[in-house]
Amino acid sequence: MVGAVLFAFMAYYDIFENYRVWVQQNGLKVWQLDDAIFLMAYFGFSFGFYAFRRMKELRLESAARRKAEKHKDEFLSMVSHELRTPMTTIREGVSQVLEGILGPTTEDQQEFLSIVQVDIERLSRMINDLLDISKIEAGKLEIHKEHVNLIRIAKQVAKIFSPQADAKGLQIKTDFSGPIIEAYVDPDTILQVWYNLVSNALKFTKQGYVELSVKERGPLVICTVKDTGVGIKTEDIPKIFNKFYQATRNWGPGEKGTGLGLPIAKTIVESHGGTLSAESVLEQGSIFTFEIPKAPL
Amino acid sequence: MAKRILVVDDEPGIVKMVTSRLKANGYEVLSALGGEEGLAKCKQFKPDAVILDIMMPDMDGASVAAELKDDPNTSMIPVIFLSAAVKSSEVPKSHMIGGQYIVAKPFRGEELLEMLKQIFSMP
Repeated sequence: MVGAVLFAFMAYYDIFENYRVWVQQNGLKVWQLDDAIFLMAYFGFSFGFYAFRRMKELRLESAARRKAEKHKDEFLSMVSHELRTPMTTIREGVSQVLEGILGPTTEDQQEFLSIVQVDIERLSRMINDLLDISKIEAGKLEIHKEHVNLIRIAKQVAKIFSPQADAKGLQIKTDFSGPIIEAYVDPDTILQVWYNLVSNALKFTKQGYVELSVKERGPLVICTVKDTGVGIKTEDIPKIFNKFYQATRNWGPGEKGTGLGLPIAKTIVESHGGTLSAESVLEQGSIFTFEIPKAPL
Repeated sequence: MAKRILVVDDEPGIVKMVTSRLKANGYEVLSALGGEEGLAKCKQFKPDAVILDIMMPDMDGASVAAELKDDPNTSMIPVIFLSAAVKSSEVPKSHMIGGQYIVAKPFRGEELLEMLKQIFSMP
């Protein structure tokens, strides 16, 4: 920029000098006014030309960007369709054979199909997470806010996970500061935040409980998921919100995650104008807290 | 009498799985492998409910449902849409043209059965 101004000035000065010489030689002497007009015209034209060219560039750039976004959109939609359709038949096929709808199966066959079923669920989760993160990165995360009772959502999550908790011998506790705490949020994505946090908590807890709490504090709603699980090393806490980061390698069967649950949750909470944070003591447990404003932003 | 269900999807695998699941639960099942065939079978056999894929190459589910809605002979048939779409914005549009039910792929057979039960238990 400085270079351009300097260059323009030098160019101007050069022309100006020649002009002055020419004027002197030819005996003309209308100075001050001519000088100013010449200067204004020169800079006016060069700025005008520059602005015109820049606007054209910007127009072309935004058209190209729109086109690229549209392609990305179509690609996402296509990939999503192409991945989800076969998942349906694979999952249904295996479960119908297992249930004996198509005739009796041997114990060995059932054992194998059960393993397949666990992995189908894992693959299914992974596909959903990957599609979610690509949607977020394409800026296509859809948020439709409405007035929602956050306690109802938390109860729903507790209910969804109670069979899974029972199976591991864990307790799901709840702690709500009232019957209704309303906030202006998108219920689907907030449910997903709960879902990701609670499924993590259950995954990393071997004994004890997982507690969901919803409380009000001034203009904020404070939601927490507390567990009595393995905990996270202090130095690892900032890393767990990074994509694909895994704090452990000790997974139970079918438990390995994508490393996308927390970054997805964080993006959702932030797009509601809130924050998601974690505290943890190794071998004692973790607390994940998300705070979101109650009122519309 | 067993309820008669028409399954419309361009994926033969899905049609087969859904058919088997429904038959195992006492439904009578008809199937079609595309939108146009589905529409024709619907008009011919007047099933008690239609399970309709949204994304189909020849004629998409939304158009099939719209045509069913336009014909007084078929306008009362409940439609369950199957959708693998990413965009939830596709859902309300289908709602508007008269389909009341959406099942997202990948779905479980139980979800479909649950929905059918709901439809047929209504007065």
